Amino acid sequence: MTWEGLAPMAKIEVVVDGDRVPAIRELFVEAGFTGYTGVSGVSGFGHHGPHQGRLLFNDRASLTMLITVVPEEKVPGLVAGLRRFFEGHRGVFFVTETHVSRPDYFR
Amino acid sequence: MTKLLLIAAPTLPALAALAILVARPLGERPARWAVRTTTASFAAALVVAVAVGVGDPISAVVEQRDHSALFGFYASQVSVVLGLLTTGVGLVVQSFARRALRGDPRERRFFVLASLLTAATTTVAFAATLGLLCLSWVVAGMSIAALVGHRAGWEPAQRAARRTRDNLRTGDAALLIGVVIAARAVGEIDLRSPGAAAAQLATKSVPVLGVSAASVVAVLLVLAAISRSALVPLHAWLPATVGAPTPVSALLHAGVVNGGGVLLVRLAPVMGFSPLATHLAFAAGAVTACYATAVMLVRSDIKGSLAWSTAGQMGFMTVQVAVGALPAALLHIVGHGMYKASLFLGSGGAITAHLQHRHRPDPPRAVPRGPRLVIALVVPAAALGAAYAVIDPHLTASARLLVTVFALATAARATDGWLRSAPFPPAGAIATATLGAVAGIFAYIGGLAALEEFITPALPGEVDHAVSWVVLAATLVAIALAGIAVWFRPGEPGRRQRALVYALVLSTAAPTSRRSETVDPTVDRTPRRHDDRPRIEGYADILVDVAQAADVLAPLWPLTSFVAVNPLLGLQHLSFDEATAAARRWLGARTHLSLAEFRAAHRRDDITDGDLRRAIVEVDWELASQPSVQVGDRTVDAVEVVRLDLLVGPEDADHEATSRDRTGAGAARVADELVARWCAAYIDERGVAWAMPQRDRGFFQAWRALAPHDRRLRRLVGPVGMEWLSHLPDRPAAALGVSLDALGVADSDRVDALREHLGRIPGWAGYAHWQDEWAPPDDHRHQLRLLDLVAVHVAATAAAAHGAPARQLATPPNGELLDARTEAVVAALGGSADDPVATSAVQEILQQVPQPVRSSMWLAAHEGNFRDRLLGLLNRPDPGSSADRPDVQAAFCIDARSEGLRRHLESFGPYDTIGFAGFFGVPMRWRPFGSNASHPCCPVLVTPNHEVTELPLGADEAAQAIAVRRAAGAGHDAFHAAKDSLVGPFALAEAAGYLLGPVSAARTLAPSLVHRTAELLRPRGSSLRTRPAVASERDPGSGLALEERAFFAEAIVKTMGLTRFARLLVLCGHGSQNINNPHSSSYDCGACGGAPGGPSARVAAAILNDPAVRAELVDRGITVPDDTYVVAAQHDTVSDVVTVLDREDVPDSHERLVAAFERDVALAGARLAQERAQRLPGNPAKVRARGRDWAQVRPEWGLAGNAAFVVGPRSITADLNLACRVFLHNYDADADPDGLALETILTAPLVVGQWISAQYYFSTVDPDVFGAGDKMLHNPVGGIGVLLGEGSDLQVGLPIQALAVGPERMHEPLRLLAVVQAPIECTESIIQRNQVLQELIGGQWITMAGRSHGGDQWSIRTPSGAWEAWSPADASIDRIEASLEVR
Repeated sequence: MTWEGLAPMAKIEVVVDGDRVPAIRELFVEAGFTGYTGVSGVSGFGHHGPHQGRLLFNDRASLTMLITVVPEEKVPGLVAGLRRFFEGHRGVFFVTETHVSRPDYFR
Repeated sequence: MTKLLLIAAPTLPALAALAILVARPLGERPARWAVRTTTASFAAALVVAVAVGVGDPISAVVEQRDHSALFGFYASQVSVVLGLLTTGVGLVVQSFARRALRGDPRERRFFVLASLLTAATTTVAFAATLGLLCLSWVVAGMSIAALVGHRAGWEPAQRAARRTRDNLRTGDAALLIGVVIAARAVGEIDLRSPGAAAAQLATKSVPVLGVSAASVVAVLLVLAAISRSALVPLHAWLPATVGAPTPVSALLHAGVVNGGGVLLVRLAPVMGFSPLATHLAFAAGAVTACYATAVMLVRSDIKGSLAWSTAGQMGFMTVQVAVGALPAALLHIVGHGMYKASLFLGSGGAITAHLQHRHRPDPPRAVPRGPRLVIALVVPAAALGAAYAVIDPHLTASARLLVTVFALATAARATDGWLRSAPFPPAGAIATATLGAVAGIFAYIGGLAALEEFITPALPGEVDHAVSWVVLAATLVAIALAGIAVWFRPGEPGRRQRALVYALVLSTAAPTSRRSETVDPTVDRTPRRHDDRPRIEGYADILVDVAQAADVLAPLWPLTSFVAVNPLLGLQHLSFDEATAAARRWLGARTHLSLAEFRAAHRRDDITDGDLRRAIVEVDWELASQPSVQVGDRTVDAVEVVRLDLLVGPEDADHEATSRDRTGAGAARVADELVARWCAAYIDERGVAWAMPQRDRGFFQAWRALAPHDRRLRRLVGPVGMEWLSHLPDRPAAALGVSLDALGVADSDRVDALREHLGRIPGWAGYAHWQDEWAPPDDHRHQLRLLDLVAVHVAATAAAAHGAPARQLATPPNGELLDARTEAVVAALGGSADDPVATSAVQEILQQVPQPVRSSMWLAAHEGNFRDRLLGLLNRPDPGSSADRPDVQAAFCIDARSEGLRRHLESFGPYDTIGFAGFFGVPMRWRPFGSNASHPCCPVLVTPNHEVTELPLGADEAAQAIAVRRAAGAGHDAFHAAKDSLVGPFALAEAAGYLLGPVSAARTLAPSLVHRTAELLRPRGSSLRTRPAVASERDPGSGLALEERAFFAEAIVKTMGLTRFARLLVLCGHGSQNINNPHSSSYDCGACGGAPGGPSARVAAAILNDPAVRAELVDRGITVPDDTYVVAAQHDTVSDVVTVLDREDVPDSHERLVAAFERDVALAGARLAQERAQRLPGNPAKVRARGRDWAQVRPEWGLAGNAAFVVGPRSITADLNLACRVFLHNYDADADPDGLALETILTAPLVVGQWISAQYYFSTVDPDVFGAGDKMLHNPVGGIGVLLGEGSDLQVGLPIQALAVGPERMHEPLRLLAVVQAPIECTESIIQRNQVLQELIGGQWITMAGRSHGGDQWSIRTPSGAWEAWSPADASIDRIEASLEVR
């Protein structure tokens, strides 16, 4: 599928325990990513059962979703790190193709 | 009479030392004897001084036939000044130590040695003969060396003691040889007339050498002085003594090191006979003054900086002596002695001072640089000229030159510092600067002239061969030119040159280890090729491995806001047993009490046999189903076999050894020390004068710039290692990969290898971990990234052990222990070791119970006992609360200390008390009035999104208050501008010592008087009224919007379980008022992020009083009656005084209620203080004043003893004495049908409670690894934490004084017991949907008990999630004492 005028990129979404976010952030920074979006207090149901969403006085005990968009050539390095990370920790990550209008924002 | 007093002054402390040594008094008596005797000694010295001042010198000597002295004491004008210093310092320091060392295992030894040292240094001052002086000199050296090694079993202290002894022996030997030569030449030297002795010596020559005896003796005296005063090249011992307890450092720096100057001043005629001697002293003094002062400027640790400063000051003083400026030297000795004793004794206040400095108001616009510099130079110069003209001190040319240069330098620096931040318009700033400079210089010159006039009769006049003023001037010019060449050279070459000098200074400052420890000849030192893998693609996995390895660390918060945290927080996803096993492996830590300690608890009945049997089955249920064994005549079941093993089986020695092994030896230890030193230099937040070059580029890059010039690193890794390091990749991840490769670490072993590295520096790594993961985004500190830190540590280790494999951790063997255990159990059962059947059966059972399981069983038994005691108390139907509307509701923090206050308050009337997290549900940052910084006031689990500012009421008062604080800030700046420079500290020490010394004496001897005086002198501005700017509509830029306020108000009401409102609702936070304590914030409110809770209470009260908020609450189904008023208060947990805040705002309608509350809570506080006094060492009558005592290391017990967390209505715990051991959170299940409030309580306050509990648990079971060690050894560093002595890792956890008095432990290390009264299905559902609770409760970090309703029996939740009915281990519940006191 092509999108006229849009540049192809890769979108990486990571769902991880709130207290592990800094480690993922460090990976993003070292990989030279220019930005990311974080959604804290993510709720749902998965491999480890139900997950409560946002808690009133504990920002670190719930799941967080981090979303970043990068040029495809940067994906393998990060994926290697994420794979290794999730060998020892709970959570998931997804890589999908996406398209953006201002690719210079993501390089 | 005066002769007797002269004899008494040095003799009394010696007699005290002897008496303590021989009589071996117990308890506080050694300290009392020592302090009283030294007081008498000081009084005697004072009377003698007065007598000499108004009359003539006093002799108390045994004379020879020619009337020269053979033995005895002599009080000249010089002697009495020195004698007052030595006895005065001895008195103040021993009084300080009397409180500070209470409970210390070697307390008695300290007072023996301190008394002996006081006697010896006083004898050095008063000795009438050289022989006696020499003897007391040697005794003083031996005493101080023994005191430096005060901490037995701690290798750094013992190393420092050895080094001190070795260095001082050099000087002792020189002095002894000098004395022998003099004695052989002319007999005993009579110090009443040293000039005559010098003349006599000059006529004799030394056989063999053929030079005059006076010359030889003079040089030997100078050598002795060089050694005693820590001058180059015999200087290294002094910085190494930083590991001595604070009082020892004060004695050392205020007394012992002055010995060199005292010797040379008293024997100036002899020294002056030899030009070689005077020039040698001059050279050593000048080099030391420059070098040591430069080192002082780079040190970010307080005690290290002070130690190097002392060496520099001694260098300066020796120069004064060498140029013949003897009155100035004496002024320096006394002034610096008092100055340095004060700074050492007050070193514990560094963290608080730093915090206050951060919260100071922004300075006004400074006087522009040009005029400022002109004023800073001209005004002091004019003042000095005027002082010379008016006072006309009789100074030699050299003395005048020294005084002029250094007094001017100090005054100029101080004036400049003042002008930078003076709280006045330029004219006012200049006027005050002028006034200060003139007053300071006149006082200084006047003091010098007065001292000179007083002591001149006792001085020899001119020192014959003193260094001439020309040499002095040339030296000063040369030093100035060299300094300018380094400091002001422009551009890149200048920057590189300064970095080089910095690296040299920093690295030579480190204590040098023995060469044999640093070089391993068996190591292959062939350089390996660096790997050139691309960046992230090759190293992403390394980043992940670092993150994973960091699991063994807990974040370490700066001490400005201490946060109690589970030291195994990163391992909390594992069960308690798994996590503790990992801690034993990676941190070399002890994770449980030893068997001996558990058995002692068993003997005290804190653990019963029933507890043990139940715990054995809890830990290993299969044991209950195993067949019984027959031993001798007895048949016992497997549980009984294990119980006996727990009681009589031998201790596993390896269990004891683990934590001691982690320090390692040789290269690894040196690498740890180096990395710690670099970290300390890098993170400095206090603002050292000479900051680490390039630290804006991050730790790794700054280190790379520094490393090539680091001499100690070079010594560690050799030229090959340095070459290898120079080719490290630029990026830390890549460098780490290369270093790990060089160490031969396979990818699969990488996490383990990294854990081992982190486990060697858990303090600095924990701090880096905090910065990476917990620091607020706007944290202003230089970031120490964990990746950078581990990259540097691994690189240094790899360079040192080039090609050698990583150190293997020893696996604890378990060989013969099982046989010995079996034998002990069989014997306990009355059987014989020769019975193979019984032995085999017993052994088979014990085989299933290795050491860690034995510890787990003991711990479970200990906890079971406490659980039975608590649930035994709570095992009664909930009577419910009265239906009547109470007059007063008072909400306190859940903190266990509030339990006592609530209990006593309730005894005074129908108070409805409530337990709630002390931030009262408003996560905010608080910006105190006048501060340019804000700090979080909420649990660290929450990210505050709002900032509330404290605004003043009344513009004039506010301006005045700001001006007062700015003036204090400007004074601080002026002092530090002079102190933190190459030329300013010398005259500053002389002048400031005479101010600080008496103040320190008063603070030590009469702390309450000082406090009352300070209160009287407190500026009016400090009583300024303020209010929190809570509503953002009214105060843009601060506070919360109406909807947010309403949201938090609803949360407060619902989570607190408030279904009705009294006429008065008190929200009472808590804080701890204590001084001179680096861990001060650890006594503050944990729910407020290690800050006092008063601001949170004020903000919450303002929200709940807000009519607009109340209107919004009505829409949310909550009606706060119009006649309900909410008032804030703060409980000072040291004094148990409760202060109602914003008192003036209380409306008339509620005045009576508030007044009654104040009256009753004051009585309640008094009772609680009385109750607490029984458990605190020291005078119970002074329990409420402990926070004002700067020598007090235990202002209170904090949360020691905490063990449980009760969630439920107050009615279930009312009337019970829970001994301040239980966190109490109100909860009413009927008011929370959907369980949301309970979920909030369990996922936040309970989690914080568990962190606190775990912090106390682990700090108690292994104070070396998880605790912060001994407060007396604490060396505050960089404004963020403490080191233990010199160059250690950053300390984590709680100091031992927060947990115990000597061997008497005040905290029972138990995992937290959570007791919840709420529908069990609701509680279980919350646990199931929250991972944090699954981990904590399922992993057995917390034991949970619960019951659905007030009339039910309690149940215990098993790790599998089942709830089993609770029954006490001992059938007769009545036997359980209704007390939770720690015994």
